[in-house]
This record gives sequence, structure tokens and C-alpha cells, in this order.
Amino acid sequence: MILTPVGTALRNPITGRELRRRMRGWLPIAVICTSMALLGAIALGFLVRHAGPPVGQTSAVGVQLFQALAAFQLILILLLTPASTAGAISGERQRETWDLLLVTRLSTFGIVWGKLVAALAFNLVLIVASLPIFGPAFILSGVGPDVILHVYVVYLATVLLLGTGSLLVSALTRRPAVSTIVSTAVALVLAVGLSLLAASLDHWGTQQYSLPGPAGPQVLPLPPLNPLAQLDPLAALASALPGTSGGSYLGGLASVHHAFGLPVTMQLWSAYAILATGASFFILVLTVRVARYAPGWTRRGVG
Amino acid sequence: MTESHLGRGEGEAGEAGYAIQIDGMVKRYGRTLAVNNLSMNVPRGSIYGLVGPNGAGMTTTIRTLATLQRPDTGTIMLDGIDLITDPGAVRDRVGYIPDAFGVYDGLTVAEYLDFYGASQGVPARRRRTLCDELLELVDLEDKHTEPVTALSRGMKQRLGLARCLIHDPTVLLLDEPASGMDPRARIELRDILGELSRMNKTTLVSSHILPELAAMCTDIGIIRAGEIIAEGPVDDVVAALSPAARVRVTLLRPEQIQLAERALASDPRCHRIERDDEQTLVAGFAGGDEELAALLAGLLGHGLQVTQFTLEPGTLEDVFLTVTELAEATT
Repeated sequence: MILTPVGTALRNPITGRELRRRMRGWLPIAVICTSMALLGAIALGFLVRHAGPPVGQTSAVGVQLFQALAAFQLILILLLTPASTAGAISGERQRETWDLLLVTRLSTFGIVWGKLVAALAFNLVLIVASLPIFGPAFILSGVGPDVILHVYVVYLATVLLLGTGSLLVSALTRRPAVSTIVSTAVALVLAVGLSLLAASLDHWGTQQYSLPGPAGPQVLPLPPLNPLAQLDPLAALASALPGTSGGSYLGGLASVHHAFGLPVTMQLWSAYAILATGASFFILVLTVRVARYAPGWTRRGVG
Repeated sequence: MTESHLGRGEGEAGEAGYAIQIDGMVKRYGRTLAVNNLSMNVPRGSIYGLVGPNGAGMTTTIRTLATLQRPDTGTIMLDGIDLITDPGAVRDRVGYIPDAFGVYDGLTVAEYLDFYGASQGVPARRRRTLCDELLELVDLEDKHTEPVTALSRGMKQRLGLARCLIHDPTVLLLDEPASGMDPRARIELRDILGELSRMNKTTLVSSHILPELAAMCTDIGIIRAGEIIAEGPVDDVVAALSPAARVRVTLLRPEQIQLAERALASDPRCHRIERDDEQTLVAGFAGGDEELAALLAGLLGHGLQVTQFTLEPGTLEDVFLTVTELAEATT
């Protein structure tokens, strides 16, 4: 029986083997413990620094704590997702096991999908493990479950986008070290570089819309939020958090008036989640296309 | 054990009883022509040795048959299935061992085989028994719980053979399988391939070690610069293309060796006369049984005391050198 892509996705031997390999030994436990320890330290530091705030300020401290934890968690995701995914295919090439997978009855989609699920599972464990650490902020700030949900949607979309992106880089390279460096660089450019670029463009755009008025220059709100922000995980997170303002970059708004270039208004974080998921699907299809007959890799076979 | 699992191989006869038929295959890597209009026919149930110098296109041919790359042009039929249009069905019938294959760290031998069994769609309830049987076949039954990375190169090769048999393929593609094996392991590999051949499984094996190929193969194809330049049953190819058989003459007395040299030199059927030691001469010989008997009679007629007189047929090595040199001379 030739395994169909759907059947493969549901009962994928690659996923099982990858999880077994990834979760064995001390490294995965160490990574999870270190990440949680760092998050815990941030939470503890905040609570100690703001111990016994006057009544009425408790909520503000809680919101700040929640913002700090959420931002740090996103940074962890930006760093750990490429690191845990980028070697998935290039590592197989380096070990010379890739060809052995390609001659099995598994489809290329099945192989790539199995790799992706296993790599993302580790990141999902990290995200889920962090939930209890958000507890104090949740209690102090009065942040609603809807906000937590929005923040975690941004996390999941980011993990998916970076995971598929790193997998594509992995399919195009031979050495895991190279694919990890390239993937991490792409993740940082996506988060930091895009924010800086978008903010610059937005600032320039705001200047263009400044008009003199009787009480000084009048800055008109930008009709469309800078389109780059829709692919920026930091902007998406900022829009999902309570009490944050993206400044002129976000236009002080959390809404996108022209999402995906269409006259649709929605929250920035939701526009980001939809766009990131769509982009991930496209990248996954592209990865499947290049993984089997990646240009340049068959040359080794001369002989 | 093999009766229970490795039964596939009979039936599904391809055209003219060939398991693999390649016609006019061309494969380029950029400007490099790796395979040039290659055509070959591998009989069903044979052990077909693909031999050639480095860079001749052996690995490219085997990787193409394993569906790891597409040919630029040409047709390839494997078990009667068109490899270009239905590579998935070909994968179902092919077991492949690359020249250098890696293993996963962190997996035991049993887990390794189980993983590939699952990847080949072998039902979970059968995999455990199957792994035991295959490990017994390749003499690794006591290595179930060993980490794969702890195996020697020879053991890894044997594990690779077990891996490529796990879905009961009809055609085995082995690229330099004996590389790194000790002599005992090579003999065992030869025995295993012989056993599989008796079950009508077809094996295409590449190697640079010609005596090894001569010992294990039933058929042979000599490849040079991406083309098959000679093909057929090993004995037929050697008989047809060997430059000459060699006659070995051992004398009782060393002082007769010069006389023996002159006697051999005077026979038009002998050439390239060389001393093997102080009592033995080796000479190229072109002729049949009658000419051979006449040569012996002539030596005895010269009063030579001959203790040994044997005809050594040409070797695969001779054929390979002759054919490749001839091909080089004509290009």
C-alpha cells in the first residue's frame, strides 16, 4: 500500500522517530528547564522589585509583568524555533540518511510533514510549559483569557512560520550549521529588521500626512497600517498585549484597515496569524517541491 | 526464515525476462555528461555486476534506478514498470544500499529496522518478527539493543542489507556493498546474495573489486564514460573478450628453463612468455584443446621434464583492462 499524504500525516513514522531522538538525553530537558528558569527569574525579579505597590497600582505592575514575559517568550521562540528545525533535512543529508528516506514508500510530503510536526512539537512543549509562569501576571493584572488566547495565537503562528521557513532553508542546504545560521538570521530580520524598516517607513509616511493646523501641525492618521506590520511578529504581539502602543508604527491602533491589501478591518494580531499561516502553507508546499530534487545535491552522484 | 518473508520476486515477468531494462539513458550534471546513451538489460534473478573506472557513471545509474534522480532522456523499465511515469511503484519494488550510508544516533539496531519497516508500510504486528528474521539473516541477531552508531562498518553494511530487504523488494541495488567489509563478511555477503538470487530476486551490484564481482555475479556489464561497452553472463563475457588464456608450465629441473622458453617461443600460439619462478613459466595462449595437447607434446618432445601443465582461463580483470583500453584507443 502506498501511504497517502493524509494517512502519512496521521501515522507518520518520521514524527515518532524524530520525537524519540529529540527527547532522549539531557539536552531537551536542559533547554526547557533553562527557558522556564529564565522566564521564572523575570517574573520573580518583577515581583521583588515591585513588592507591595500601593493599591491601584497592582494592576499596572501585573500588566508590565505580563508584557515582559510575553516579549521574552517571543524572543525564545524566535531563537529556538530555527535552532530546532533548521537541521531537520540538512542534518539528514550530512548523515547520509536522506536518500534512504526518499526511497521508502513515504511521500516527500509525508517526510517533510513528519519533520515539521516533530520540530514544532518541541516548541509547543516550551510554549505550554510557560503557561504556569504567566499565572502571577494573570492574577495581578486582571488580563482576560481572551488576551492570553490572542498572545498564544501569535506564538503559534510565529512557530509555524519560522518552522516552515527553517525547514525550507534546511531543504536548500547541506550543512545543519549553515541552515541554522541562515534560519536564525531570517527570524531576526523578520522580527527586528522588519520592525525597524516598517517603523522608518511609517515615520516617513506620517510626515507626508502632516498638515499645518491652528494648534500646530496636525498629524492625520494613516489610512492603511503599514503593510509590513502584518508580517511582523513583534508588532503582532504588541497589538495583542494590553496597554501597549505601537506609536506611529501601529498608528496607536491595533487594527488593520486594509488587511492583505483588501478593504478589510481586523486586529493586527489576527491579520498576522492568518498571513503567517497562509505563508507557512505556501512555504511547506515549496519545501516539498525542492526537498526531493533540490538543485545541486544530485551532483554528488557522479560516478 | 527467508521462505516466510522474502518470497516476492517470482512472477511479474518483465519483457524478455528482464528485471531492469534501460534504453538510451542520458544524464547530465550541468556540463558534465555522467551517463551517455546507456542501455542495459538485467535478467530476472541474476546478480548483475556493474563494473567500471571511477566516474564511469555507475553511481548515477544506480541512483537513477533508485528514483533518486531523473534521467534527462531515455526509458527505464523496472519489473515492467516505467520508472519515469510511476516512480512510486518502482520504489515499492526496489531495495537500495548507497555507497556511503549513515545511521541515526540515538537509535538501537531494532529501532532502526522498525523505523524503516514502518516507513515502508510494513504493519506493526509483523515488524517485530520480521526484524528478528532479517537480523538473523545478516548475522546480527545478538545486536538488537546495540546503538546503531556502535556497529562496525561491516556490520552497518549488513544492517543496511537487512534494511533494504524489509519490504521484500524484487530488485536490490547495491552500490559498493562490500566496501569496508572484512574477508569473512564478504563471503557471507556473497552467500546471502546467492540465497536471494535463488529466490529469483534480482541484484544489481557495483564494485571496483573485480575478483569479488567475478565470484558473486552471474552477469556483468562493463561501463566506461557513461556507456555500457560489454554485457552478458560473466563466463561468456570473459570467454569472448579475454585477450588470451594463460598456460603455466612447471619443470622438474631449473636448468631446463631456458630450453622450455625457446620451445614455447617457437610455438606460434604462445606469446608474452614470463618466468614466474626459477622452475615455472607462464605464457599467453590462444588455441583450443587440440592445440594445447600439441603444445604439451612438443615440450615433452624437447626432452623437458614437466611436473605441472595447466591452462588458466582469462580473468575478469584481463577483460576489463582489455575492453577499457580498447575503448580508450577508439575515442
